[in-house]
Amino acid sequence: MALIIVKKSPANKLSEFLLKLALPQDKVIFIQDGVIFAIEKNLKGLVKEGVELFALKEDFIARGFEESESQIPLIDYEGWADLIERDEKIIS
Amino acid sequence: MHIAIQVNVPPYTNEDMDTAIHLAQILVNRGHKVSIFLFADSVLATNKLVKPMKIDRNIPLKLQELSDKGVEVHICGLCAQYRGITEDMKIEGSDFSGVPEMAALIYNSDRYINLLP
Amino acid sequence: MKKVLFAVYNSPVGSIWINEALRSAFGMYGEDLEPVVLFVNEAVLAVRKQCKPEIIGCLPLSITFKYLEKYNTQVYAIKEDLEKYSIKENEIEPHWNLKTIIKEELPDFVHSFDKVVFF
Repeated sequence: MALIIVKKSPANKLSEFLLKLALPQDKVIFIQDGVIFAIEKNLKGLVKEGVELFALKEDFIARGFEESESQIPLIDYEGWADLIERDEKIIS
Repeated sequence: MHIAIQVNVPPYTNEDMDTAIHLAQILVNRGHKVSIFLFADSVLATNKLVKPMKIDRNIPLKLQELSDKGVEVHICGLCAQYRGITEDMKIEGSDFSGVPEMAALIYNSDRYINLLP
Repeated sequence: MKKVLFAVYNSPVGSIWINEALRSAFGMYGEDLEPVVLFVNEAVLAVRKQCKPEIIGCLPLSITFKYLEKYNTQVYAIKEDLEKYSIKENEIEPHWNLKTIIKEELPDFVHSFDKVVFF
């Protein structure tokens, strides 16, 4: 199982490349401009089934979004640290 | 747990140093050993001579504070030479190292978090 | 022995990342680490013989060749990305000793490494 960090916006092709690397049971955290993915309605369709998605709350709110706009769980840095502790492999 | 964070892009222009500093603070408070490896333009973040506006954050000072809390700050020495960062400019507690140190961190750390450029 | 992947997605010309990825890879042999390099997106332009950053005054890619030979470092490029830029097999600089990988195999390939660093 791996934790994939996506920090570039949906407009950057690399982000989609990284999302396609995710295998079932992997987790993806969106940080920095990557958090813009969180408002996409068809976000689940960009990854394989069984991939868990999270966005970093501070980065999301700082960009002017309301928490309710996120289609995926928002987590703070403590939540990100939990994911780091849990998954040995980090892809970024 | 030993957690290493690699940064590659310059401070102030990008969010990466801010992300790394915030994450390192949280991880060190949770009892982890944290190492920050500064590669390429990110070495500029160790220049204590920076003069940001008063309302803005002082990134080298924040790194210094992390170092005081036990976070290792490694600077790629060749990258620093390229950018004119010298011994007397760099923050206290940081060390010039290089790719051998990166290799040691990659080998020894339990988690290696690269913030891609 | 641990395996580490240096994957480059940035262009070989006008950015330093291919040189930095290779320099990093060569530094891994000081530990019990096996580095592998992967070229993604426009990074694959690096493998063509005619690709020369020195034309615009940047650091040449060729400075890495003697170390590639010395360490026999494995370099991969994504097949579909080579095709996208019409890079034919006979145009590839032999020093890269290039292997290709198809996109479908990438998730398992990337997960097979202990540590992954994108540039």
